[in-house]
Amino acid sequence: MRIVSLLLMSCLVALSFVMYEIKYDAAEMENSVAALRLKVLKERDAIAILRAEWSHLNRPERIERLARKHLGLAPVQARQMVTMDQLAASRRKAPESPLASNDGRALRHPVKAIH
Amino acid sequence: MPKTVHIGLTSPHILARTRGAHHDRSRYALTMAMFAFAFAILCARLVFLGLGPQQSADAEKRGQLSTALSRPTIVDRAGNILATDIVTGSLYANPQKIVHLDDTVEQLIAILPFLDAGTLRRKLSSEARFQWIARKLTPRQQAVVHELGLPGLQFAAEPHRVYPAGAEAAHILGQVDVDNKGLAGIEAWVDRAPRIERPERKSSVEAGAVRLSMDLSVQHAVREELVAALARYRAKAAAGLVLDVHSGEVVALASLPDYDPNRRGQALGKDQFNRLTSGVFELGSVFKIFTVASGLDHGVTSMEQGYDAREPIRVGSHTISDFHAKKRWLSTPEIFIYSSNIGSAKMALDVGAKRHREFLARLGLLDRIGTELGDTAAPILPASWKRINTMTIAFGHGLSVTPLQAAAGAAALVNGGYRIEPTFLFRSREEARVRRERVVKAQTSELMRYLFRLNVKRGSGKRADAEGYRVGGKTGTAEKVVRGRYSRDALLTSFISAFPMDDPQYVLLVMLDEPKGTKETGGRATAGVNAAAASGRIVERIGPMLGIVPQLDTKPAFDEAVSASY
Repeated sequence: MRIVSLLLMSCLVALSFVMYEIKYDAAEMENSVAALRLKVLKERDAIAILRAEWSHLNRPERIERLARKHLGLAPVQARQMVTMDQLAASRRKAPESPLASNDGRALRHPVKAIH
Repeated sequence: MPKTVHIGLTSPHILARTRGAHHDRSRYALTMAMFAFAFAILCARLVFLGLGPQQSADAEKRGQLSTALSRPTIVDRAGNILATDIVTGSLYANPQKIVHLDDTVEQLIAILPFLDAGTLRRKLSSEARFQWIARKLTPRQQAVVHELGLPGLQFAAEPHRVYPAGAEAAHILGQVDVDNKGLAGIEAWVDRAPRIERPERKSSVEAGAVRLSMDLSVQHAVREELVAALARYRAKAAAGLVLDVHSGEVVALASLPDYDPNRRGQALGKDQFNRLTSGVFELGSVFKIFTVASGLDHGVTSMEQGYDAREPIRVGSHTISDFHAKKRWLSTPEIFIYSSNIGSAKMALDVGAKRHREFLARLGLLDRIGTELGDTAAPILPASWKRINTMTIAFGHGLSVTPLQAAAGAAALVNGGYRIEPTFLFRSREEARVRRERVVKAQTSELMRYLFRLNVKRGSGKRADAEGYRVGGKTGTAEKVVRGRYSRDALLTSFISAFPMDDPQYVLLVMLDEPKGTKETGGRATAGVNAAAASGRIVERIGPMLGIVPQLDTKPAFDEAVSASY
């Protein structure tokens, strides 16, 4: 019986030690979780700021200004739009395209910017 | 041997000695069961702790000091951010910990010159443990204050609302105060709404964001053209809106002068109100679309029938005459395109005061319109609806409505005859189909489309004819009431149009307040030369964005019908 008691006692000691270890580990992990969570929050805040900035830089007013200045672009005119059907129709009308002959030389002409 | 039972770890040892005792054995079992039960509870608790949601202590701590609310992001229909929260630092002090009062005041004023020395001194010498010094500082200001290393000063993280597109959609979005509470527009609606609807699709739109019906590109184009029109015609104000006729969604809405919601200090002046929802106006001849529609819908008149418009009508002291008097019999299409007051008044009388009024009510023109922008104005009806009122309302005088209301009414006339309440939130076509309600016969809608287009081809709306986009519309030039009298010089011009007229998708309303004549307009200031012209420019720009395919070389079948039958 004494042996059993001793065995149980030592088990108890071992258990409490393990418990202490686990608790300590858990506390440490909790700290690192808290630290990570704070980091995530900070990153999220940073992302929010970057997204706001991205939207600010992409606002139509600015893009339009830049496109006019650097690309020579202007609002699209109705005349600049064609549908697939219209394309097919114009192809049938003019079967001999300059692009088809001249071993593609026509393609090498510099394309003039459309203002 | 005492027969006491010890409860604890030693009890099995003691119990073992009293062998054979059946009574003790059951006690032993009972004790074991209790222990097992206690451990089971512990285990269960452990499992629940592991499964349950983790509370984020840090997040709570961060928000503790701030009185500001965090708000959902607001995006346009394509997912572009229109309003979002960013984190800023707000400076607060614990006056109990301030060491050198004079020093602290002096150094803070040097960095933050907008602070008032007297107020600051009073705050820092107060008995309280907490005093706000400056809310929402820029990162640079924060860094400088931080470097001073003054005791008793600290920062709290606070959400701060930013509007990346600036003034672009000011009147839709509204504004928030320093505590991030919504003051106007959608921002105020977000606070009122019990639960923000989450968008179903999560493609580019952030989950949980409030998705508007507005399209930022279209909004920008409309606003820019209105800014240009405001300058070109030297108007006091300009406003415009684009409405999807099938879903009732407001795709763009701008009212100039507007404001930048990022500037909290920019107080909403008297002149900066949203004219399209918060203002009511006598829209003038634009109203003839409703009168003609009521005549056609009730079968009182037809495209072939018409009215004698030779003589002005005299009712008591009033005289109703035509601005562009033709002095002959006019058919219904002629009454529409020559904008005949006499013809419209007679038509409304033929419909009957009661039925005319009921028709306007059915289109939603007599009740306050409910939208997410809370401060919509109620229409102003005549005190008593007499015969003369029916006659003047027939051509748009004596009844003031919000322009948004008029646009929604016009949408019902061209979309096949369905009334659909306008919204500033994204609405799917399916949802719109459930919400719509028939108010006008399909055939009436068909005829109205024809009349709209005819007026742009032959009538007062010629300048709105954006090439390829089949615009149709009606002009309205109303004299404003100045000191109790209609003034000849102070005009309110408007143009309600729809496009493409063969299958209308959008209604566009443009309104100018007191436009002046220019060289280009030959000195005139009526709707046909300014509001209609501005509409044409807007359609030219937004047509491609809205996916309207222009028709140029091939004459649209619809246009041919318009020319042939008239």
